[in-house]
Amino acid sequence: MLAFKRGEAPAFGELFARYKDAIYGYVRRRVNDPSRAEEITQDVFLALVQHRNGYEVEAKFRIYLYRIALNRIVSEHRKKKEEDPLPVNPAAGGGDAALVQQVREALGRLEAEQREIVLLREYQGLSYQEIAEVLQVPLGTVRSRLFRAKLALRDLLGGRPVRQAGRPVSAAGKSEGA
Amino acid sequence: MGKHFVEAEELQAYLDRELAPARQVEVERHLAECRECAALVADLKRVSETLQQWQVERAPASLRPPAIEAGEAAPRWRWKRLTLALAGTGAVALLALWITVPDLLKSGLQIEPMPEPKREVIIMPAPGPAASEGRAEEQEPQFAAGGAPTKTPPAAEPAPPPASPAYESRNEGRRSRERVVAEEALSSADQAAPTAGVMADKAATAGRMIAYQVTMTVEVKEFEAKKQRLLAVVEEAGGYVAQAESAETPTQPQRAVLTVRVPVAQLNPVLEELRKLGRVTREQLTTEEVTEQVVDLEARLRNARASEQRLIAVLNNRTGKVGDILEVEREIARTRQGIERMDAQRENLRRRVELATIHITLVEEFQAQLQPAPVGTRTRLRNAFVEGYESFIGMLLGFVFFLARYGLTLLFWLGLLWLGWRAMRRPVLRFLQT
Repeated sequence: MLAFKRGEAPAFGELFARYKDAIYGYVRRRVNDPSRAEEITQDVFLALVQHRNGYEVEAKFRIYLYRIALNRIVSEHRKKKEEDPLPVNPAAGGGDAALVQQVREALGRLEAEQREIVLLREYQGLSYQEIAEVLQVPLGTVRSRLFRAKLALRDLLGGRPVRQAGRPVSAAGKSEGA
Repeated sequence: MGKHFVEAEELQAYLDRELAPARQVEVERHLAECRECAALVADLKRVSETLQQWQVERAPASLRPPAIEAGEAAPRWRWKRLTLALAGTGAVALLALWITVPDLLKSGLQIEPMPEPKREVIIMPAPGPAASEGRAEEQEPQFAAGGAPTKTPPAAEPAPPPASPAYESRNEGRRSRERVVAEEALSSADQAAPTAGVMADKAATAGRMIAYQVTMTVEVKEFEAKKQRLLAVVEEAGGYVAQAESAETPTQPQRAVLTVRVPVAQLNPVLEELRKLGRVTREQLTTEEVTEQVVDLEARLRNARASEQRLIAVLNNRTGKVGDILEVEREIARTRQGIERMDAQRENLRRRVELATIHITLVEEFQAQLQPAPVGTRTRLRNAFVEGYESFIGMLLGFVFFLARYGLTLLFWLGLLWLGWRAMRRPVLRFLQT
């Protein structure tokens, strides 16, 4: 990114090739229409070009990119007056269709903050620190929200309820014996 | 059940390898001993595996990197957008002005029609002889101090000018018109006698008809006696009281407002007598020339009468149909009505010329007010609440009126500022950061 900022055009091509699938996947899981997902992905990289002078060395590029993508998605939902939904028609990428539908529905029932963290962690592979910086929340918040989201998903996806896990989890997410 | 040495959240972090290496080892050791935690970890792991079932397709081949030039063109577009926004706002503002200004001009700012030619002189008590002399040196029209004319013209003289310590015009812009009256008055003053009827004489010589109206306020000591004296003066002059109103309250001096009509020839003597009632605090003479109205009225009257005579002649030599005859009769009736109306107007004008109108306010000289009884705490408290309530309502109404008056303008400027801020926010913030 620094090379691109300095004016080396080929560096941008490399960045695009490296991150286009990840960003497209991130957007695709949030937007129903594949062509719209493609446009938004394009917009994300266009914004990268436009704001390359504002890029700071301190910021990790991946975080920078995901923040742009997140802003574009939020803006898209706001334009369509949608309440941050997941696609009605999940992308076809293989897997058991019924199970995929179940997963989508389970994710859809999570709180928006929890869902965002799950998506960034499970599908985009961002570290807790990166998620914290993308969402601009404390690291501890990321950890606790992710844990609670996973417990909720376990229940929603047919696993054992939290109360039967053998060790009750308090509202703060801490075990009684810990 | 053994003790858990790890927090539940740490189990997910352990799975994600987000713990410090030493803590990772500790948790792993704990999991080997704790079946509950191990089961929970297995659950969390299974959830992750299930989530992985939802995979999306790779980015389509049609997704190409955007042209760098396109990205660079964007700032220009931003300026273009700002220009468009400003142009749009300006257009809206112009439209609003175009809609509102004519209405404003029609309502609040409309030019008043030119009043009838009216000449007016305000007579005020002189501050002192020196001031009077100073004015005289400036060749301002002025009457002799002391008010009483040295020579009083015969009562038969038609219209008098006021005799008063000093006078000054009400409106500088109308000074030229006032000067006409003033000079007429001065001509009599030159003869050391601001006489009654001089102005009317001149007006009559010039064939003019002038209606006189005087407004004066007199402070008196013996209110009732002076009021009776006033009525007697008016009666002696052959005038009458057209309207009278008096008021008296415990805390205010007595006051009577009267409108009297006196023959023009008697105006000056009457005014002299009225000035003797007490201290004149205000005196104003207004004249209105009605010659033009009278001439116009006479001409219209002559025409109407001639028309009536012709119609009567037509009726006398009637040869037409009955319908025509009825039509002529109706026309005669209409003409007659017009003649009578004009006669009444002429009569009214004649009265206005022949009888001068004096609006006089008699005010009892100020006396010390009675002190009201001391007000109790409860009453004061209640009054305070009432005043507070009124003040609050007044404030609310004021706010509403303010919004009604300036709301649209404020909205416009705030909108403009908001658009400007929206367009300039990022460059400004970036500049501040650097």
